Amino acid sequence: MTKIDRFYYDNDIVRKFAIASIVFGIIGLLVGLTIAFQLFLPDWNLGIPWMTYGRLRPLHTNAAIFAFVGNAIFTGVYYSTQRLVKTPMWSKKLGCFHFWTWQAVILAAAITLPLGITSSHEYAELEWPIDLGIAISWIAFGINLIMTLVKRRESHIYVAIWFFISTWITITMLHVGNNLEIPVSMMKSYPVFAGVHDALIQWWYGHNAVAFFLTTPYLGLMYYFVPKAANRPVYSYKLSIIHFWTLIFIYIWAGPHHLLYTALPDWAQSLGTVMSLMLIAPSWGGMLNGLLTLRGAWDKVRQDPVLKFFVVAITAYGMSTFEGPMMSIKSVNAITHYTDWTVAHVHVGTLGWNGFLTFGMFYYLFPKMYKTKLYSIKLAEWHFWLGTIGIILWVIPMYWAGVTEQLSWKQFSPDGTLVYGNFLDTVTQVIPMYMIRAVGGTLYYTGLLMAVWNLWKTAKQGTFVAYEEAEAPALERIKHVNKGHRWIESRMGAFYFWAFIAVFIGGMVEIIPTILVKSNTPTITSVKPYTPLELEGRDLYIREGCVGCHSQMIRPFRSETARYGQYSKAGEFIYDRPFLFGSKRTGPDLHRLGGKYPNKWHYDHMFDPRSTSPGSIMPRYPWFQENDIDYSTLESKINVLRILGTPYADGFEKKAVEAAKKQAKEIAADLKENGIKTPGLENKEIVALIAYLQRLGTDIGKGETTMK
Amino acid sequence: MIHNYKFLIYFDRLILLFTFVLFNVIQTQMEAIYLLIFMGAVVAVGFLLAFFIAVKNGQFDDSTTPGIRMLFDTEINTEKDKRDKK
Repeated sequence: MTKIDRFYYDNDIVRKFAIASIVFGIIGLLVGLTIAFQLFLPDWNLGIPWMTYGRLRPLHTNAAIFAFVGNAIFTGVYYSTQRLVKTPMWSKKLGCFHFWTWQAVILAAAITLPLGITSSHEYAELEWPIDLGIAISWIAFGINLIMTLVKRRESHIYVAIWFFISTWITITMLHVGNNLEIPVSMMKSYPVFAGVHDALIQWWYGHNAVAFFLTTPYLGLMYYFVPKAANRPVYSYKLSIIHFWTLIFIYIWAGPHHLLYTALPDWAQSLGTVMSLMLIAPSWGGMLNGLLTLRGAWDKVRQDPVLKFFVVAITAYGMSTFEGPMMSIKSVNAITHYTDWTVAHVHVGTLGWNGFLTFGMFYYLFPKMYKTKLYSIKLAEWHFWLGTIGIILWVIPMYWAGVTEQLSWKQFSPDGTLVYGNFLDTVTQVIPMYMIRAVGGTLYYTGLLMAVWNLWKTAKQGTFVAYEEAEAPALERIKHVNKGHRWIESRMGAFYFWAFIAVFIGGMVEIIPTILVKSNTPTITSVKPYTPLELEGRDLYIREGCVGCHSQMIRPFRSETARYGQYSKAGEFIYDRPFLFGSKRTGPDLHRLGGKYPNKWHYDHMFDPRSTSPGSIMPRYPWFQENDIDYSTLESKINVLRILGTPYADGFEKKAVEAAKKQAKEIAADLKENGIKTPGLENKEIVALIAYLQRLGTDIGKGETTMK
Repeated sequence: MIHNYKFLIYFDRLILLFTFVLFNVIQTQMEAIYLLIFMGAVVAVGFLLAFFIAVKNGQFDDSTTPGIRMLFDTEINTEKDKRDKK
């Protein structure tokens, strides 16, 4: 006679994460809305450093991904896993620990990012102390998840949980891989890798963050909540298994599609393209499985807002996973890269797939957990339509802008000159699209606020069930015949293969770091390390988030060499820690900026961009003239960089401040000659920044350019 | 799994020779990619192993009932549900 167990599902932890997700959704998406407006109202930062676009953009991305989506993931994982394995979460304490440490990380992000404390690695901007916090929180989550599975009452592990497991494993690897850094101070570190190395690691991480944080957990949630909400089994369980395994194998290889036409070797670019294209199959397997689950239940979709949100979410997933592979084709990428098309692509996925699935899930969960009906179906329907129209008005102008941007950048007149030689002309053309996008975002945000109200009222009218009683048969533990090492040993081929792997690992762990750290033999002999002053200037560039609007990677296209100068060579970046290739040209590429404009131009331009460039949407940076350069970490910076391979002479760190001040005096003297009367100018941050900007791209000598 | 293991003896020596030569002859900016491809391969092989183990443990023997079984609620909806925390 099988024993029937009685136990309680933990809804308390689910609700904690749900509330956190909603709160940070309100904040994170508001930041997004703010920066959308700032793009055509550049003074919408009240003149405050931490409200400038460059600093708020990473706050938005981190809040949206880790705070809004992240907490939603945990909400759904904790709810569904318990019920799928018919077992409560293994440890309430660990769940709470996970919850509070995760929110602590978010709080740390909210403080540090606007202050300009950033590693500049996209979606991994948080500096090293917070990275440690993320690791601790994530490990707590993993232990709880795995132990719950160990204690499960259902021997079959439903496909959703496979997605959750793969998420946990891969994100762990990615987090470690992209945060290999040596601290310079409590709030600053330099990455182990430099230049093109660093770019590759970052985009290996970046794409897999999309894959294993924005996709696989949400596919898992889809496989639980869609069948549950429709009361229909998944269309094809077989298909879910096939596409799961295919997806996780292929996704890891798609990273190079972020680096097409850059200094990444051709074969690596091609590999990324091929894998990205192959990815259409498993991704669409997921989409079709999700949509076809609603076969025969379309009348329910008409009546139920939850299902409506799911349908649009899954469709958006299908769109992005078709578009992404298309954008991974080099000829398409040549048009989309650095433009607003990429941004549009991101937001089809985040607003449509992640956002809408999250909303559907909350509209499903709150009535269930509060043992009541949704407060207002009508309001949820309003949210659905507003949100959908919001997505359309967000995305379509950005496609339009993207094509406009790139084609303008590429356009030559019959006599061989650039039609839009002044970059600004390409920017002003897309301002109307930015405005429409902001309208779309406002609609989407309004929908979010409707959801908050609706869920709040639902909670108020119901009674929360913190621990829900359930019953299920206990699982008979089946004894495995071949246990542990004996299993391997009875299979000699496998044994040899795995022994080889073990040896290979040992070898590589020794070889690779040696090569990597040693490999700063310049491939271009004229490329020298940054001077101390230029280093400080570079770190100011990083602090302000300039990389969010400006790229430093000129592609080998005639339109780019005509506009900017020689295309960027891998060897020029060997001392760049971190790399600053950039992903978007809201402003022009800066890799060959050095020597193009006099020091005074930069002084004026940073103070008020519109004084030198009428119509510019760049925010003002008046504090560069007010703040003194902080040399307190300079010695440590030189030391760390030397450890990482930059050939600063031994003992140079002691003379670094002196050298910086000497170079600063020269620049200040030049500025003075041209009419700048600021007292103590040689100590001001603007001088360091100018030193850095004037150095950019000058090592290989000036190339031909027809740019004004 | 892998039945013909004789070739592996030559295969791994070849790999080691190849990487030794490569690392000493060619220096580009791209050495990080070996680490990444290696890590990708390790993860992929790890997933492959997990797949084989899952097949062996009968995870995929039944691909019909899991989709239907998950639709049934195990919650009892009694008065014993704890409305307050703890």
